[in-house]
Amino acid sequence: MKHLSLLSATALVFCFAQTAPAASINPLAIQVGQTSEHTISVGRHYRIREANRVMVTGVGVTAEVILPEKLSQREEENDYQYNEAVRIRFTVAPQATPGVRDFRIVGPWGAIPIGRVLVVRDPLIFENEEPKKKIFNDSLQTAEPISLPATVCGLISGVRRSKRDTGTDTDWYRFKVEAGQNLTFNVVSMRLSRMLAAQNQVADPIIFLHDQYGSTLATSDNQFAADPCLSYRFERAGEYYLQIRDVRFGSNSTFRYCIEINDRPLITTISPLAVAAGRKTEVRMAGFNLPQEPLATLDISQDAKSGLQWKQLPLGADSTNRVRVVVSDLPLITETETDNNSPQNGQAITLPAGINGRIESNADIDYFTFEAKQGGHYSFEVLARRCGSQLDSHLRILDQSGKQRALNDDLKFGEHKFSDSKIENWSPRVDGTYTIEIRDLHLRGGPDFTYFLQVTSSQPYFDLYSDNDLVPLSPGMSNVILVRVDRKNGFDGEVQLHAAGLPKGVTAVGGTIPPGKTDGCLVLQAAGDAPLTASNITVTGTATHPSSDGTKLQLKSQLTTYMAFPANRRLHWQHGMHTVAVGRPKEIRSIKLSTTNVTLKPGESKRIDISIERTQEFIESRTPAVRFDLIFQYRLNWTFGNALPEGVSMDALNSRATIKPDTTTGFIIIKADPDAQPTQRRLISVMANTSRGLAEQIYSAPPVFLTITEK
Amino acid sequence: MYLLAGLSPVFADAFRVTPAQVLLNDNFALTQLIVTKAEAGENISDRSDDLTTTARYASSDTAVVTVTKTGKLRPAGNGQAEISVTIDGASQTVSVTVAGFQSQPEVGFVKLVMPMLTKAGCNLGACHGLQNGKGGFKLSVFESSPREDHDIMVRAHGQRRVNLLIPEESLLLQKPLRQIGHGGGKRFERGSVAHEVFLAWIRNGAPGPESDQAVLSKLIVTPIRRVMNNVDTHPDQQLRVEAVYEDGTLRDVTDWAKFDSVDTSMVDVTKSGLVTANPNGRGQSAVMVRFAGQVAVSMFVVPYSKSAPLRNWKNNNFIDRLAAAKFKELGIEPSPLCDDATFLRRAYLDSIGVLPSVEETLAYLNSKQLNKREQLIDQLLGLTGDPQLDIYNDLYAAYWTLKWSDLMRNTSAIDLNTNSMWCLHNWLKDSFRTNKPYDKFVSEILTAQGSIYRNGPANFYRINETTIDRTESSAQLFMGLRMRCAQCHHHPFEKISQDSYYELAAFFARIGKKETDEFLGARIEEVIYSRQTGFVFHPRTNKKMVPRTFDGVVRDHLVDPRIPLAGWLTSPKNQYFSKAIVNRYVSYLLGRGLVMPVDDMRGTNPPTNVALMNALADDFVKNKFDLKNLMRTIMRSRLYQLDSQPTKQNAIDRQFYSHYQVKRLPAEPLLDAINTAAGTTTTFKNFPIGTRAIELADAMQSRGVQNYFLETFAKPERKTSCECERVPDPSLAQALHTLNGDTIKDKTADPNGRIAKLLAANKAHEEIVTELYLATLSRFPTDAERAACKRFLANSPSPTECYEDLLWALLNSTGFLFIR
Repeated sequence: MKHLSLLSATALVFCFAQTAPAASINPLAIQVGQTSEHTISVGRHYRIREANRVMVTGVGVTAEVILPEKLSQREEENDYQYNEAVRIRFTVAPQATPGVRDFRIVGPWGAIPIGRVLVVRDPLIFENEEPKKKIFNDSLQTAEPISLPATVCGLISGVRRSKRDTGTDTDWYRFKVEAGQNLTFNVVSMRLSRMLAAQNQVADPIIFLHDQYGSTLATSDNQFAADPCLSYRFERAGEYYLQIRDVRFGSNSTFRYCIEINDRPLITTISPLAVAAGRKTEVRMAGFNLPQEPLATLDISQDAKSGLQWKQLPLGADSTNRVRVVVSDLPLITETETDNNSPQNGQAITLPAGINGRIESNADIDYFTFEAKQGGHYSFEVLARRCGSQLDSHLRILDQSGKQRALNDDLKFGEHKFSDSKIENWSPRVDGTYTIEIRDLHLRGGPDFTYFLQVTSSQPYFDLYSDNDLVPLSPGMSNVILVRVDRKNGFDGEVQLHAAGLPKGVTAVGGTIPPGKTDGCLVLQAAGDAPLTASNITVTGTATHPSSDGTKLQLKSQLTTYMAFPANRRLHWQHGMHTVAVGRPKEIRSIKLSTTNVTLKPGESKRIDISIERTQEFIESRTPAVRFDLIFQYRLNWTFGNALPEGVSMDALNSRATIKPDTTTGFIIIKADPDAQPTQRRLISVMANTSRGLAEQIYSAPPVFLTITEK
Repeated sequence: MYLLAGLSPVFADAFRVTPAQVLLNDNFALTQLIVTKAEAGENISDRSDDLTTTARYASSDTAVVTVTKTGKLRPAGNGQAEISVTIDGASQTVSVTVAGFQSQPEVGFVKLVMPMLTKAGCNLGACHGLQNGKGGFKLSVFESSPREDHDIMVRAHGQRRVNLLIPEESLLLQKPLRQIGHGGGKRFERGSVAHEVFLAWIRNGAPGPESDQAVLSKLIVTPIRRVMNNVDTHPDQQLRVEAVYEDGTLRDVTDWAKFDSVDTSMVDVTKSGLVTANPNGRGQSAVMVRFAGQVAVSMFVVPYSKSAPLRNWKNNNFIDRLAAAKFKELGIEPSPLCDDATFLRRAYLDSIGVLPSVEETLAYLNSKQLNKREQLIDQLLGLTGDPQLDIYNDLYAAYWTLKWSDLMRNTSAIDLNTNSMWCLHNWLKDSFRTNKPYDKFVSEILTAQGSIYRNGPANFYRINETTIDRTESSAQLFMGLRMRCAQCHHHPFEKISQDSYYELAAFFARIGKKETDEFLGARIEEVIYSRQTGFVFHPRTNKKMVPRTFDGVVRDHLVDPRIPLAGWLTSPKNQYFSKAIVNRYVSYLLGRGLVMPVDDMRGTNPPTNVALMNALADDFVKNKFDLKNLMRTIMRSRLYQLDSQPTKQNAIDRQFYSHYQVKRLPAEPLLDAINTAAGTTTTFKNFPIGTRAIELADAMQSRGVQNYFLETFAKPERKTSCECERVPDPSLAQALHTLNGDTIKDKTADPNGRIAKLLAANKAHEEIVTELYLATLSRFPTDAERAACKRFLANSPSPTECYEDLLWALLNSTGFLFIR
């Protein structure tokens, strides 16, 4: 069963990692073994100077808020309007692993959306462009000198230098190299800031290497998503230039970048991708600036958890950057070195199996054969792109005559599509030998086209996901976590939801997701005396499934959290900080209902009266309206959370679901269709939603239990 | 019909008649005789005069064969006879055998009836070949659908068009004979061959397409090439056309073939194939011959003079050798070499699209190196191998990226997608910067897949959204073939059938698109890929088309048929490919392609210098499709370095490069040149100050580049893959803008411009004038110009006004606005 949980644990899987910071940090990077101060900027909705704690993911990095010694006059006069930034001191332990860390700042108002910071090995160099002092680095002539190795932190700013200036920015750096030196230039920018929904607010950098005469030697645009990376061997000693700009000549105060420049290898993936726990495995590295013999030994401890893990590979006395490794408890098979490039020459495997393979060259297609029984159910999952491989896998199952029996190009998990492939619960019509065909969709191949293919008997399971990564509460208030389930391989049962790791004074009422329904909820309640604090929680779902031997299979799944962005299209970014924060009431101080137990007969409807208490701040802000609802709908009427039983809905026409700023009461009519099925004490949430611009905030009334009786 | 084998021409002292023997084996087996004046030694060549129209003909037995005044034989009955051909009292005879003559002859629908419809013009696009036909009568264009044509002629509308009982009263005869009203007028005469063919066909029951009709494989035109040395005395040439069938038979189809002159200012051609050179027509042109879907040409050269000694001519490379041969053939004396200053300016603008700076100009003009032209070419193209000298490579890449961005139609207007436009732009620029071999460059485009944000050429399939677009763009861009006609019918001027069109389209039928979330948040990344299946169906027959290249080979592929297509298309053996690109580069550098328009490389539109085209293509292939080497080869040739000033003798030449063809600077290099000369910059929205116009990535459109000057000078919106979208001709609006518009006015008076700086530096009058000439025309002023400037200064209200006016005048001069 362990191998089936791989996909659910894919947070930060990409080396071009997905993330969704909403807090802007300057500078973007912190150095291993160092302490550095950074400015965190947020929107106007937080009194950020009251920040008192910083939560950081992973180990080896801590952070603290630097309290301002003195407020500016403007801040004194109106801190709500202008106090948008705070200074944070990060400390990185010498043994901390380089890579990306998420952080969240906590204060008496709760917690802010996550930010991202990059932990690097080399000394930091900060761009020294100061338009006010007429110091520019926007040409070869004015290029800023840098010593290598280093991580250069800069900004593609939108500052206009003159009336004619179009507000574009190009940054130039100059550096010296020895003859024969090989350097890697790895830009991290878009990967840290693509949370911003509007494309023009996300940098799309491009880099150029120039010789001393200004001629371009090399260029890179989109290597890791929009971030460039290149490795270059300098045949002649001398001074060279690095140029970085937004590819569209765009610029913005959010267009920050880091460029890691060093002569170390940059490993993107390894082969084999999957290893067994308790063994040493020799792996071949792929990526940039590789050693002549790109081999390393990967030592996985006996107690290592199965699944995707980040690992650094030993390289002499040094170690590489982090790479993605699959620790698998499946019997591991390595793709044969002989020809398996046709169905006739398919490599025979026995199930279950984990196949380590590589699409070695352009037009390479790998075939594997296996015996399958009629009535058996089989699953096939490729892990490649999620592990840094370049492969865009294309997976087919063929029968003995070569006829296609199943096909998958891209798999979907939650709201995301992945370039990896997955065929689940495939059942052959007859006993026989079947063939797995795997290739790159575009017939590409090479050292970095590695894959791990899991072939197993299908087992029932489910995935849970939610796009509510930050749940705000205030003492005495409630809020809701909407959860969606994706049932697999014949599982069709009820899922019970649980929450753990809640802040002190917060309790959770876990609902269920009954068979046939995809959405459910948990309602969190903060006690009236709950302290103002925050913690990261874990939401799980449990279920049972009847197995063929008459016993009950216990199923469990951990919820995957996304950060959602309201825009033309609601976007979701997966990350690992599911935070519940208790803060001062911001907009709504309390929500009271006329009843929290509703019993309906099929065809019947009932009214729930709602009264809210607004905060003074909310009243002054003249936020247009509060909207009550029983389901959560994004703009464009896309429903995400609908925990109502089948056949139950809100009678929107006869409800007073939207109340104006000068009103505090409303009501909703909840109705059951004549054919609504009976249910007992189903947890639902009466939500009060506010919106400012594109940002929507959900509040919830205390838990409501809904019973539908027999007719 | 006569047989291919066993024939030998009749030789005589004064002339020769072909064919020497004739076998006519059915009622309509007509044959055209050609009489050629023999040169000394009884030889005939392509320079020999045609005497067909001056000879007199007589048949020994008109019951067997008749002969017209123009030497056309027509059978009259079975038997043998002789045709005497007489010129100035000298006679020769041609023996004729008629066999298979029948009282009620069999007439094949495909073999005779359909070609006759074409000859009579019935199935032209303007007549019954119209989309909906005319007068309710719809024929396929150029005989492309015989079965459907037969149905509509014989069966449609209650068989009203043929009268099998009284064939003479068939509508199909009455209309073209104009016995009743016919919008198309009279198409043939009573008693003509056409009339008799139709009549005989109807009398036989109007049978449908023959099941055993041999496939026509090619046409042979005689003569295939003619140099009309004695055009004053012998301006005519009769053509004879033979159809060669796959079963080895051939048939004289001169009477059925359709003739068109490619350039009527040079030669005219009659319906019967008699070509006449126009009195003032000089140069080279072709007569196009069409029959039953096949095309062929006969080339005509009318020399400018009897001889050309090519004084002082020296071959720099093979281009010059082949150009010289052409000059000799045409009797053209080329202009002398241009001077160094002219060459410098020309080489800069042609290769990297920018003007040389004053310093670069002085360095070059003062250089005493004997091979400084070769050195300059290598420097501009970045081929010296010395980083200190190869400093123009980025400009080279920028300029040729601009050219190819036009051809590839790269614009953010499509899908309003700026990122993908930049992605393609950067790929193009990188390709030119690294001098990617052209076969690899094209192969990467044709087989492009993956993200439109990460793989530039994948945008080719974003820009060309449909299978039809992809087919036509690929053919036009990479093979110089305009295939659009063949989408609906057989290409009228090419051997490309409608089948060929859809067989080529089948290579692109499986292209699909999918989305990923891996790129930017709000921008969905599109990924181009080859789907498992995808088909193209013939619109007329609904037949599923197989991917087949023009050589008739089916080239399918398990995953992506574009892979074998790219392999074939970019192969050294595919002359379409190498010739198309060579022709483009000849046009870019020499001002005119060997074939014009450059992307219309039909067999019926032959190069002006076939040997040169072949040699350039071979050299390009031999040098592994190296574009820089191709440019270097052309630029090093004497031909490229000729003066643009024509001589009295070669002034009329526009085809053979006897003098360098003056070109107007395109919009972007012109604006950059003005800025270089005036010491100013132009600010473009969303680009840093100092960006050159040639570096602008986007097209001329509201969301892309917005600049009045560039718009006026025809920077294209990139709506088509045709070179013609960038109109090269000067216009009134352009003249008005440079003369009266604010672009040049503002730049000459710019407070940070060249004149302001020269005056601020207290430069002497002589120095200022010299610098202005060097900055604009890349040469020193002449003594006369210096004197005029002195007078101008004396008469000007102020030095500032004098020099601003001088710069204005220089920028408006043809010497500046044109590459000379």
